[in-house]
Amino acid sequence: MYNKLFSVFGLASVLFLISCEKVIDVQLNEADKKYVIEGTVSNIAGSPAEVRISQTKAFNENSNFTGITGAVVTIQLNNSTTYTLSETAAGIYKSSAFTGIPGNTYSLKVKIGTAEFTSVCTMPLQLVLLDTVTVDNFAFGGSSSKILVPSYQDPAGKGNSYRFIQYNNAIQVKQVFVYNDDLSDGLRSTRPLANPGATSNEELKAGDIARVDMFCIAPEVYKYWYSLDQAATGSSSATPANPVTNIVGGALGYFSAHSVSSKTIRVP
Amino acid sequence: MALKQLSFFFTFLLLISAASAQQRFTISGTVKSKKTGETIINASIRLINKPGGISSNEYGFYSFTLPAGNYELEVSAVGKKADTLSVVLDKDIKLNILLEEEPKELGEVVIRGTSPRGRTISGAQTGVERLTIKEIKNIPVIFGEKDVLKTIQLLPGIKSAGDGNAGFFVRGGTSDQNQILLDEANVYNASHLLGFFSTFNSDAIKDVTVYKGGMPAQYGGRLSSVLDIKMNDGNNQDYNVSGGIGLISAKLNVEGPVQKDKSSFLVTGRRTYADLFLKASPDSTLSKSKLYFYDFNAKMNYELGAKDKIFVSGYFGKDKLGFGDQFGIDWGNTTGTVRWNHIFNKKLFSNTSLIYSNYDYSINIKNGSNDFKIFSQIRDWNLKQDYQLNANAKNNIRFGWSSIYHTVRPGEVTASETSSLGNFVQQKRYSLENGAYITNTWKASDKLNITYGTRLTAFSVLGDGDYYNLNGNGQVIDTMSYKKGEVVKTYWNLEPRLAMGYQFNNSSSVKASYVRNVQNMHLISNSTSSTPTDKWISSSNIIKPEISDQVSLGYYKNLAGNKYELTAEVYYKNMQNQIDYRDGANVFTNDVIESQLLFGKGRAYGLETMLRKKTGKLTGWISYTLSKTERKIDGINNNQWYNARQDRTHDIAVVGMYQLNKKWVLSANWIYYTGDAITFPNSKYTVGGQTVYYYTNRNGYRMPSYHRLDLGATMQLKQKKKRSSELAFSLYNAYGRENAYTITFRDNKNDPTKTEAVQTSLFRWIPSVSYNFKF
Repeated sequence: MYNKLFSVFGLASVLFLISCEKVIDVQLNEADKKYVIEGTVSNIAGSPAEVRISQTKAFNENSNFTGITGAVVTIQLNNSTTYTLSETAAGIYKSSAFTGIPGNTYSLKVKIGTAEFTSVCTMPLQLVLLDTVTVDNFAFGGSSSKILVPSYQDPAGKGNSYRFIQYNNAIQVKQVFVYNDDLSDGLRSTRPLANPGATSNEELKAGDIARVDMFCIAPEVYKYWYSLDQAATGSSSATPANPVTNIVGGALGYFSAHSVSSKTIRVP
Repeated sequence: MALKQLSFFFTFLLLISAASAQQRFTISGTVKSKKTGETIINASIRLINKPGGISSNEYGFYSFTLPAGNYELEVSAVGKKADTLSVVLDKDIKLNILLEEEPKELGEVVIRGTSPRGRTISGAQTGVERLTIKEIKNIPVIFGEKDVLKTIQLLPGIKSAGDGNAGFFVRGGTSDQNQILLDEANVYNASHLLGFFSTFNSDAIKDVTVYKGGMPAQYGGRLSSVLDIKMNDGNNQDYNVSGGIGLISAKLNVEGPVQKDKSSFLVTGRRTYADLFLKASPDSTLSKSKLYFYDFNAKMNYELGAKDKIFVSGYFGKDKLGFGDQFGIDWGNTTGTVRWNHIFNKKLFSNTSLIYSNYDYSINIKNGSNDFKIFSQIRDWNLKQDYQLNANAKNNIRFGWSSIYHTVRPGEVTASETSSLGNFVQQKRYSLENGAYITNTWKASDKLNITYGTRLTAFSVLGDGDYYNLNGNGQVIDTMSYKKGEVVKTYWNLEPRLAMGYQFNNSSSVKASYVRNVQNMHLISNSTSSTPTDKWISSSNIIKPEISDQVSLGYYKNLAGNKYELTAEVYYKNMQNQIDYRDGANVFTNDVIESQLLFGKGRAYGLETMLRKKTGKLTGWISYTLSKTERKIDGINNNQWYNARQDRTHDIAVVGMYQLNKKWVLSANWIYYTGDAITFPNSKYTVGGQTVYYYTNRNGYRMPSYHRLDLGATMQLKQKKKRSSELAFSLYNAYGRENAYTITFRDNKNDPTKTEAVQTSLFRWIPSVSYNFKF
């Protein structure tokens, strides 16, 4: 919320001004390729553990996912059983052999050729459920837009972090929504999913089917998303920087063991 | 400590007085404007046909000790007619000097940066720029609002922070490393309206002095520069009302005598009214929106007798910005200064000041059941004592001390019952900043001037509160609790200052200086543009005082019989304990702010040149700066040196004013600078369904270069005895250059698999007209 505020503030200032926008050519020197690892373990039965491996791309290439094949991917549970994830599509590695359990610790190991990357993540013990999702009207700068308001009860004791993904008619809204309980410990949260930079197909209209997934994430995963949102989205007001990853070995991305709950509503 | 220093000073003082008990007499007094009674700062008092001269101080006071004899004195000041006085010095003389206004005739000087004699070349002071409001009045500015902060950015070595940003950078420093003083009070945020205006209403200002290097020892507390702004005292001869109406703002200034010749007052107010147009909007969110600022300056002075004078001055400003009921922010500075000038005797001048300064902001947010307020504040109380001792013809000593009590409230959230946020208070921080200084200006010979001195500062971090020890990753390993008033840590620093000037002849000189500065109040900002919510923090057990050492060397030459003035200075500056954010830092919800910071060092060097035409129908200057500014901070850019954001290789300003006839003055300025150093992505990737950018080097790229032409014209309307009025026209960005404000990266809207770079620019062609009057 707090960080969103400042983007609202920045936007407000630009709105006021006589500003103009144009697409320009910028000469960017492509850096050496880096591996990007996105690993998830969830508590939903039947939802497999998944690790997606790709590489950075030049600015002018298309953004489509180009998987890295032939990696050896394993996840170890609480320093005991090790599961190997198999490649189900190019660069996508899955295992349905286990389901995540809150409080358990998962250790990811990825070997690509001689390179090795590791990460450890504990699924938050507290299972917090998304209670309701409602729609609120948010008037801003002369126009009114509809925003989703997820409601949940934060348990007492600091250290809980949440991430939300919003889908409008099954299309994911490209916006990071992460909150923690630094300022809201033990309270009922009704912080809206504010998206000041919404594109036209991301704007909610009456009759749309909207879905919200809520993830209880580990603090280091919160840090990842928070720093990504602050400094790596290409339009940040903060000095650009790479997100703070929990993967060791020099890869980009994150590894998250999280619990999930969802709500779907029809926008009134 | 302060007491010990004081007794030392007094002993010193006595020794000096004893040493100078010869057949010498002193002429002393105050230099004032005959028309308004305003005291004149930096008037030059010079012996004719003999070497030697001095300047009046910041209260117009001067004191000149000479062997007995007959003297011819020439007194001159910017915008005033020079006067010649004959003095028979066979006893001590008290002489107040009144200077007449310079007649505004065709071909007379409109702008002049230095006094007619070319003060730049004399003395030992390097890296100083001085402006009076009279000098800047014809320079075109945005929205037609005269602005000292914008105008000084046309001088070499002082760089604009860009469109929509009132900040400025001096010799590689960040904007918080400039000490901005309004009648001695620290102004923590000098911007109005998101930076388009500065907090200084030019109608209330008498004199602006910028020290870029070689700061005299009476100044301390910031690394890069001192911007010393003095308010007008008010006319003690006659009542005056003046004002102006522009496209977006109006202002009014009232001044006059309380007791003729003895005391006066001044009140100035200003308000923008862009928001009134919003009120007319049928849309309720817009009509409930707020976007304005106002400010007041007030000052009064009173002569208690021949030897004592009291000044009371204050500033109050507020900005308000809001959208409907949902979002509102307001911020502002308040300063107050009470000063007592006392003339102990013909040689010793004293000033005692009690100074208050406050900056705060609050943000209100209301959205559904979420209703909360965020507040932050910094407040100073400062007691300051300065002495000026005109020891003898060759030595001019200044000494004094100051003590500032800072209270910082970094951030406080107050939320309603139904809100998703709880109440949250970042710990208040208290500190005491003590300083004492002594400095002597020594005329070693007719040609050689040396100013040497030192400043000693002790910054004490005080309880109550918790302080922490951190490990290398910024995690708390130890918490220490302190009681109220308990000293957590004291930082002692000695700041030597040395400046030397050697005058070859009447028209050229060379100067060199060394200065150390220490800064204990730091603005931490992670945003690419300045916002009112940038955070001030004080040094703590972990945050060390920032320290800079600067050497500079300058050459000054008057050309073509003083019509032109050429200055060139080079500098090298080394900075320690510079502060930056860790990646992913959050300083708003974290009580251990230090855990979010990284520390390192900086260096800056450059060449500044200026050629100025001081007289004739056409006046103005060309300034050029070549410079480099770098940072090295552990944890950023693989611990390698990188260009600071404010690093700009070239910076050019051309300023011209032309007196067409009695009615019209035309003006133009053109500026060009290398784009800021900036971080652009080197590659991209996808995470969580979103395009994310990959960065390798901090500030490895450049924004496009910036250039702009502004035009102005002032038309003098009918002028009667007391009444006068004028129309001022300006055109900002005359050729409509689209200068980049930001460059961002995003998915193409039609084809999200493609990414594009988008440049946003502000204003093209801002015309404005304003009407100014005086009666």
